[in-house]
Amino acid sequence: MSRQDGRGTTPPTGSERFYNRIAVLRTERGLSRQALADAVGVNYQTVGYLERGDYNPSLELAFRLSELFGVPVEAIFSRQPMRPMSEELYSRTASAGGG
Amino acid sequence: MIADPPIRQRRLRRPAFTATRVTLAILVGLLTLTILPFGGMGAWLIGYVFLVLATCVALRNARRQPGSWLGRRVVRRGLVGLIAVTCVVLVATPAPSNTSDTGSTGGGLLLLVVFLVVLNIALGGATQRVAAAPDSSVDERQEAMRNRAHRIAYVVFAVAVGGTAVVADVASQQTRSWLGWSFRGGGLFAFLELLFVLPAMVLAFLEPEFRPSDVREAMEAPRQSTGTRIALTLLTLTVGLPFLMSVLVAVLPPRTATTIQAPSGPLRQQPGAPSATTTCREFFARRDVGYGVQAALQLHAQVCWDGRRAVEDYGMNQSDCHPDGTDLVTVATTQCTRTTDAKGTLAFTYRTSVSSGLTPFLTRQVTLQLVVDRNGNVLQFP
Repeated sequence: MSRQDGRGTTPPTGSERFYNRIAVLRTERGLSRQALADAVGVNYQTVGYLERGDYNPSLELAFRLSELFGVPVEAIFSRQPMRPMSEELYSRTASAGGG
Repeated sequence: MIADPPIRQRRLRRPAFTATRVTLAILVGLLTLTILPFGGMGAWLIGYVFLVLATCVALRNARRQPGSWLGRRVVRRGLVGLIAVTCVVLVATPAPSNTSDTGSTGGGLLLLVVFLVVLNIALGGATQRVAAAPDSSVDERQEAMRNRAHRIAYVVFAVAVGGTAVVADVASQQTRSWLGWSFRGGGLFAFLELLFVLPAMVLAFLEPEFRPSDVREAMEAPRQSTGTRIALTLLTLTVGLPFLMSVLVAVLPPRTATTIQAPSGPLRQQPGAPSATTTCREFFARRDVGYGVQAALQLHAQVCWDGRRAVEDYGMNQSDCHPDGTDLVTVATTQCTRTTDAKGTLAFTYRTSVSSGLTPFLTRQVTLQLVVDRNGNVLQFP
């Protein structure tokens, strides 16, 4: 994860932009933004920035999120737009069954 | 779930002597010391200082609530604008002087500084004091924002203060002398304000608006608790009261009290007066303008007449043209004349321009006039 070196108010664009599933994972676990913020030790507003992709987290924060949700970092963040989890899971299951 | 608690945002036990508490204690001490010499200022200023303190406490309690009105961008930018305007007014405010007839500037300066303190507290609440927060109490995004604000503030400060100083130093003799006295008056406060608070101002200006979804999803609690409402009311009062009282100086009709009596003391010996047929009277008039932010002008003179002409026995000289008392206003004498016409009528005019230190563009002309003819008829008073 790239730290935005002081550009905390400027949303990342182009190649700097990361896509993530934080909102989905949070909702699945029934966490409010405040609860998630408290769990990973950030301000509640930062969670909103992360979910919208307006802020790219540090590697430390990315791993904290990964440990909290119990999924690998690459399941939360991607450089490409993310497909819906259900679609991704189905395609993996189908390819595993077919192979 | 992760086992270890997060590193940042951990609740730390706050030391007893935090920077904010020490600053507040110093400010209260300074205000007390400053108010004491202004004994005639009345209880309202002390009351206002207590209002400021109550507002500070309320704002500190209201600052961390998501979606609070204090965190809205329009409020943050409004505070930045108000601080900037106050700094400009401070720079234009000369140093207090005991010799000038604008000696009341000290009161205006005090009012501006108190006003600035309130705005600073509000700004701190609006930005959650991120600009001066230690690394342990901000997250990485806030830390990045804080660093960016400090970088921008550094450049803005260098351009604003350094640029102004350089231009003023080379422009003309007049601007060079302005540069000299500006740092003895309100300019010093403006300089310190920019030095310490500019990063918070930049941060308040840059930080984007709350997204409604952020607020809605962050907390189920209502957006505005009683505490935030109280803070809003107190802040409105604290900011609005000085402006209201400043406007009243220009709007309210002056209150006038006059007395005319027989001379209380011995007459002074003057050529031509007094003679056996001379009659003298002592005139006293006082005109008050405004409440709280106010000025008192007085005329105290003794006039004698003998049927040929009216003359002053005392009290109509340049040294008598000064305000009797001023609270947070500037009084400038625009006319101080004493004339006796061919018919022997004596006319004395003391005209001033009164304006509040906070609203120097709103001025009021106040005139005290005494006209007595040679037979002792009072044609105008005051």
